[in-house]
Amino acid sequence: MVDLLPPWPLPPAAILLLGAPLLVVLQGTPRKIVHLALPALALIQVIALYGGEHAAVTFEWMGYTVGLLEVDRTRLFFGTIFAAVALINSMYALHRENPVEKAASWLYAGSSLGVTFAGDLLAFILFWELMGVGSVLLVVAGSTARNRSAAIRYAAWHVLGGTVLLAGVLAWMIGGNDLSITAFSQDAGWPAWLILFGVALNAAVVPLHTWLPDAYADALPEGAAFLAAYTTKVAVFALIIFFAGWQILIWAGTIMAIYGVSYAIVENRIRRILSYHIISQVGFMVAAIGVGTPLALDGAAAHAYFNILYKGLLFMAAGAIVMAAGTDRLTELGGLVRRMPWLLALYAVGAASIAGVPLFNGFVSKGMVVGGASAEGFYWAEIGLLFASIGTFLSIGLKVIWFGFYGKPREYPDLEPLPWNVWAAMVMAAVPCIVYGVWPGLLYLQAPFEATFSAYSLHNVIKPIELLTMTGLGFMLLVKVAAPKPGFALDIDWFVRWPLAYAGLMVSRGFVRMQEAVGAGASRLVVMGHVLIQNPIVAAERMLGRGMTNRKTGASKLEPELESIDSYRLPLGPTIAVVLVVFGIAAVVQLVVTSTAS
Amino acid sequence: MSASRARKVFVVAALVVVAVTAVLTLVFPYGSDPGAKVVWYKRVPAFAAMLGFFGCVIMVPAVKTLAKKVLQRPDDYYSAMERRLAELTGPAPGTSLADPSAPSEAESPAGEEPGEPGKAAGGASAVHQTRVAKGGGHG
Repeated sequence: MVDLLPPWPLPPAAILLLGAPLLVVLQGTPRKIVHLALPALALIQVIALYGGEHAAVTFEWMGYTVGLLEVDRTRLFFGTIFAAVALINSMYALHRENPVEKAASWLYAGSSLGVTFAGDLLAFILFWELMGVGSVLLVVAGSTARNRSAAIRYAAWHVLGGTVLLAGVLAWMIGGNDLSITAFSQDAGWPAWLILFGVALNAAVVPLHTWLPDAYADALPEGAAFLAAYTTKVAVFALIIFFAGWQILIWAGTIMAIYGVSYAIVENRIRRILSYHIISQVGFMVAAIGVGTPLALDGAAAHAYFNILYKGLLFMAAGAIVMAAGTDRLTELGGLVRRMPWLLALYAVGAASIAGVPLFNGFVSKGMVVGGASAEGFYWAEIGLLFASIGTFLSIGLKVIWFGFYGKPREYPDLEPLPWNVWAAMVMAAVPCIVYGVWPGLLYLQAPFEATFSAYSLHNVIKPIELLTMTGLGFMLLVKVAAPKPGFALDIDWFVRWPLAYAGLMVSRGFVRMQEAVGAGASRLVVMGHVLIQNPIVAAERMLGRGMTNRKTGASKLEPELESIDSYRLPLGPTIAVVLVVFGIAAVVQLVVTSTAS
Repeated sequence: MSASRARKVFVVAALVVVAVTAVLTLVFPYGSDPGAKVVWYKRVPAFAAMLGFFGCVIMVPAVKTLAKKVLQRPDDYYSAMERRLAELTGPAPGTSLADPSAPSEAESPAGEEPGEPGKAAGGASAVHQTRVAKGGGHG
């Protein structure tokens, strides 16, 4: 098959990035054809690149060589899923006629592919920043006031992360290193830590995570499907190629996994629940990257690959609920199953996958991650990740299905039928969730680090079955406690959005006041100087007479004629005397100067 | 099938499943898997079941209580906060209703003249005032 498709040296990113303007120009059926054809071409190009040798694509820029196409197993693995999900999400957004939103989604997906196949740090950071631009446009495409303010916060976070990342890359370069993409050793020094900060922010590592639920939960359903796929998973890819085996990541990942599910348990809105579960699931990947063995790294990569599929499916299903019912608040939903049974079926596939139910893809990758941690003796991480799995099943599997699809039935007068392409996209995501779960061998063929793992060994199957069954039992006992409540739970961005915002506003006002005081002082100085030149006597009187106002009436105690510069002049005699004195002094000075000079 | 009966069936089914897996763990102890390291809790029958049950029973009330006591807020919390921020910080200095399109305030008719310092700008939003402050900084 591969022979039929010669691996042209064409970066897959180019197809989407150069094709994005077409989405703005075209309309109607031609646009729809392009909208599906180009992501399909990008996917075909990635698959063609599996075919072995090809020329590297580079260009010269300000004396540097920028590598746009570098291929290895890790890149191809991530590239495949990034291109595939571009196709799935474009299908999901096919019915939308907002050109900016669609172009932004391809800018975002294309630059993610650019990061994946980047040949050096320069191309990496170039596409990394471009990805930020695309995602901000996608957030703002929601076009409500809430979207706009979320987009500003999102942009602020990513500008911070991108700048620190750039600083790290520059420092790394100045330190005498070349710009090739290689793994950093743990004693690589502070440039590597700066780069880690920038990447960790995009991976939503707690406490740098708050932009994620903030922006994703309110984005357009079509935009959220794209957002859920790329930013965090591209960061996971970057962590794998740069920071595999950094043990601090095991801690960071385990904390993320538990933190995310804890918030998901209390949240009311389905898309906020899903957003917090991105943090939790990326925590699994980050922890596995910290372990750093081939099994764990394969687990991280596979979990990212599968997460894009099932999380995309869940976000698409949640978006479908928003499209149909107008809300994703569990307290305002209930009994959806009677109106949308097929949506429940598709959602359940995603929920079973994320929970790690055997025969679904999440079971395989989660087994690899947890098994990878356990095999290296990180037992606390294993227990922590299992603990997080409980929360995953609780909120995504049980809470949303119980209270959203079942529970108290409600009337949905405005329930709209979903467009066909929405269903098609969800099916496109759901099928591989099951296929990879049933035949994990397909994964091992592709997996970048070629680890061996038997997902369906007795104990690997027993563990999730026991865990999930008893979690279900616990949920049944606590169903009243677990019921969603209106509102949301504060996250640590409160510190930024309240005390820091207050302080920032006060500081900026302080500066404005200072500016104003300086301005007022300067203008008073000018006025006084003017008076002094025009009439020194009045100026002196005014200066001496300052504050001599009657406190009761506020009337000036100055002589009335002093109020005007022109009304009070010296008589002629003293004026001539002053002039003579001044000339006399000038003459004396002149004499002294000339005599000392000669 | 009534709800309570369904519940009973589920409880029995769950316990049967866990009993079977526990027996399997005893018959085929962990470590017979190739390449697996043996640690004590992996040999405990139904360990994951206990973790799942007690994890759920502990985590849900703990997190829910924490949320109820400390973290839970109404949906419009942050938009209300932005309004409060505007009130707390007061009007931006040196600004007034410089924006001619803004509705005039009753208590400051003179404020409609652009560039009149120190006039109260009433209840205009913080965003609006900061924008005005930038434009109206005439020193």
